Amino acid sequence: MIRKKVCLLGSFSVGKTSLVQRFVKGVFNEKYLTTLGVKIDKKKITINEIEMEFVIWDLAGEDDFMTVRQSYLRGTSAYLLVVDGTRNETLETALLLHQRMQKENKFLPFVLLINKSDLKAQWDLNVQKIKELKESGWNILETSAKDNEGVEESFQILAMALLENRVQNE
Amino acid sequence: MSNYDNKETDIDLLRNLLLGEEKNKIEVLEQHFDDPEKRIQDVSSVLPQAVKLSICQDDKLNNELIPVVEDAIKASVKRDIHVFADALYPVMGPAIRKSISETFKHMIQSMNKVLEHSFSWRGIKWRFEAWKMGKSFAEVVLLHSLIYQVEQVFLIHKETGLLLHHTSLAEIVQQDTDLISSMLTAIQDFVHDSFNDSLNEKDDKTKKTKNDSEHSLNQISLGEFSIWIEQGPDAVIAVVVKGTAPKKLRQKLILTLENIHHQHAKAMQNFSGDDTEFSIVDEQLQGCLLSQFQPENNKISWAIWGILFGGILGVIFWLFIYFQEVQHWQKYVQIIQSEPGLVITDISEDTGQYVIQGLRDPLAREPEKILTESSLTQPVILGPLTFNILTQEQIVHRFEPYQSLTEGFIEKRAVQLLKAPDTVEISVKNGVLRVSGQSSLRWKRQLKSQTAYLPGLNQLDIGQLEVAVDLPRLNAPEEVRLHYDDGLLNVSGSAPDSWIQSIETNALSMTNVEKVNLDKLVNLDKVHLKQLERDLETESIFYEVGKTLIANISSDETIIRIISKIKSLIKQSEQLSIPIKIIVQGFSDPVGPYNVRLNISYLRAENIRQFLIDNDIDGSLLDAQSMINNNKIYADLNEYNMSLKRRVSFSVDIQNDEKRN
Ligand SMILES: Nc1nc2c(ncn2[C@@H]2O[C@H](COP(=O)(O)OP(=O)(O)OP(=O)(O)O)[C@@H](O)[C@H]2O)c(=O)[nH]1
Ligand SMILES: [Mg+2]
Repeated sequence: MIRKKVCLLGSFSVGKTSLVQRFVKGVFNEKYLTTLGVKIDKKKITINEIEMEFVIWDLAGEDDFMTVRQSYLRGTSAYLLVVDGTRNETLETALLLHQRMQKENKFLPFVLLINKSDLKAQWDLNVQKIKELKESGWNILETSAKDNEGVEESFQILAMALLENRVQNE
Repeated sequence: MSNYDNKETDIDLLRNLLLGEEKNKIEVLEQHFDDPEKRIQDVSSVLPQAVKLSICQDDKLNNELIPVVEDAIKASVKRDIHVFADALYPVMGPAIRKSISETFKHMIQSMNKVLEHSFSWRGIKWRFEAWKMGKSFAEVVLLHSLIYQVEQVFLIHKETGLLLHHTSLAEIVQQDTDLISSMLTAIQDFVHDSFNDSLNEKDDKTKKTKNDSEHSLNQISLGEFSIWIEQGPDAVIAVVVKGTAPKKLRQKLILTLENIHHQHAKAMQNFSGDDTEFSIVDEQLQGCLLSQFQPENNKISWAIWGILFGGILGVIFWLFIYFQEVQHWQKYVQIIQSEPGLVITDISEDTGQYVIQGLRDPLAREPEKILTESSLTQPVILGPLTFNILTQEQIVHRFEPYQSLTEGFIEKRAVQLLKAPDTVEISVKNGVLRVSGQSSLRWKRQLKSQTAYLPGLNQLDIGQLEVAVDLPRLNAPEEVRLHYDDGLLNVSGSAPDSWIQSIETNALSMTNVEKVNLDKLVNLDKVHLKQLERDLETESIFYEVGKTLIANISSDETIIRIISKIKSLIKQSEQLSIPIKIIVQGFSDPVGPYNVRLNISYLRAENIRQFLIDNDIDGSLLDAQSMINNNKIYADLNEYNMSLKRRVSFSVDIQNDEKRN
């Protein structure tokens, strides 16, 4: 069995834990409990008849008072950048985190998730910026941990990218 | 017949004649009986059957033989004891040993039982435990005599935290080994980083190398289990141990890890998530599944030897004391074992000294203190004698620091680290740190960063934590609603200007308020000003055709009302220090040339302005303007409409007050 470490990155309260809980356990919780440090889960996923297991590291959100612990990112094969659609500043944080990954010479597969699509009426994002990112080839998905939208797909995309990498390396 | 003259010869001859053949036979028989050799041969051929027959009939032979055999054995032993012993050894050796040990075992057991019944609290406790758990006493003893057992071995890829291989005792229920492996890596990273962070702060390079290994987490304790971790360059080995393992286990781990690195370094460096190729290390990992059992009370047995061979009362007394001492010691070990935050890794005894080694959470009670507080080292009075069964000096403590991950300790650590004010309650349950009550904003903000340094916690719940703000101090009028959230004070509703003037400075001077939002707050005085403005703007003074003056102006009701309205408007604006300008607007009907209309409309306005000045209204606040323009054409010019055009009305400019604040 192939196992891969995957990290979720993003500002605090964007829904990282909720997305993982939705993906792994199929549940959603309205109550907000801040993640401390890291929470690890795993899930099997089958893609093109190849079975793969994700070991998912749900990291505590980045905010003014805390930055992501760099050592937790070590050995990761891919990552999800999570943004809260109702808070534009979380997009800035996500871009910053992405830059930091690149600086560490980690050109890894990633997907940008714009979460809380069930609250689309309250979305407040720099649409222009998103358009630019899309044009520059970013994988961008709208998700909702609450309504189970786009969650499975995001992990599928990561798995696909990882398989492609594997084929290239072989 | 040549011997006839001899008498004897004759008889012989006769005999020969009569009994010739029989005589020969008899001679043969005679010879046979006279020859001992032949007789032996005969007896030997019948003896076995004869003995057999005789034994079957009665035990005469037996009885006859006993003294003979006894004598024979005696004689044999007298001559050379070894011959006999050698002959018997193969049969008797084991039998004797067996019977001896059987006897001793019996004795020890009964002795143990007596001892346990008479002296041992633990004996009773175990019996109770056995009864409660429905196990045999022996089983419970075994359970307690398990020193340690390595139940599971993890080989973890260091870079990714993924599991390379896992092996465990057959009877162990498999848990989610992948998750455990990742979690262990995270905790390790965490401890390592935290340590480095604090070092970098100090910027003390000399200490770094020395302390690096000391502070990297290599042991985690979880109730009766502990996890031992050993780090290599590419892989980490972790074992789950039940009980308290000796140091040699660590040696074994180091050795195994070295071997694995030696053989599989390349595979580990190129590891891409596929663990199948690592199943070959299974055998090596199995080698780490060490265990050790200790027969309980083996110390008692040698004491029993003392009784057996000494058999003196003094010995018994000494024994009694010794047992008391052992009991005290074991009781002490038990107390330490059940003390939260203390883990025993090894106990040993050496000529009257008891050594207890282990790990101690810095927040746990000191073992030395526990010893003093227990009654174990207190002197015992026995008749005329006073003596110490166990002295402080007899016990040597060797405890190293570690962090206990039981919730009680996580909580204690959190409380200590967070320096929470008295108004805050902290609790830990299932890895969630729940902080509730009231605190300052600063304290609340630093909470997340502070608690991230606590292993054993994975979530923070501050839903019930309020930041204390002294809102009543603001003396808000009833119509005002105050809502405070995370440093921001939202003020809504309505209030008089005088209150609003001071609210911002007052609020910002309060602790925990960083920002004040007044956007949703209505200023009642400004509303009143607006009201007065609108009131004045509804007024108009109408003129007759071509007239620019009002007859009997001083007693005109409309004019009097307008003056009073303007005065209150000015007064209110002065109170609010909002500059205003009242524009007196003159109009005329659209009949006649533009110049004339312009003139008339202006004069109407100017005359009113003059009159207002005459009535004590500040002229600098008044402006007269004609509102006529050249290009208006009116469709419906009946008399009524025309009369409405001949007028003076008012418009008020209220200076935008944005800049005032
Ligand atoms: N409406 C809506 N709410 C969501 C969604 N996803 C998460 N939330 C809510 O957002 C809040 C934060 O979610 P978490 O998953 O704890 O956020 P996080 O990114 O893990 O936060 P940290 O652990 O503090 O970094 C919770 O109250 C969730 O219920 C979503 O898709 N829709
Ligand atoms: Mg979280």
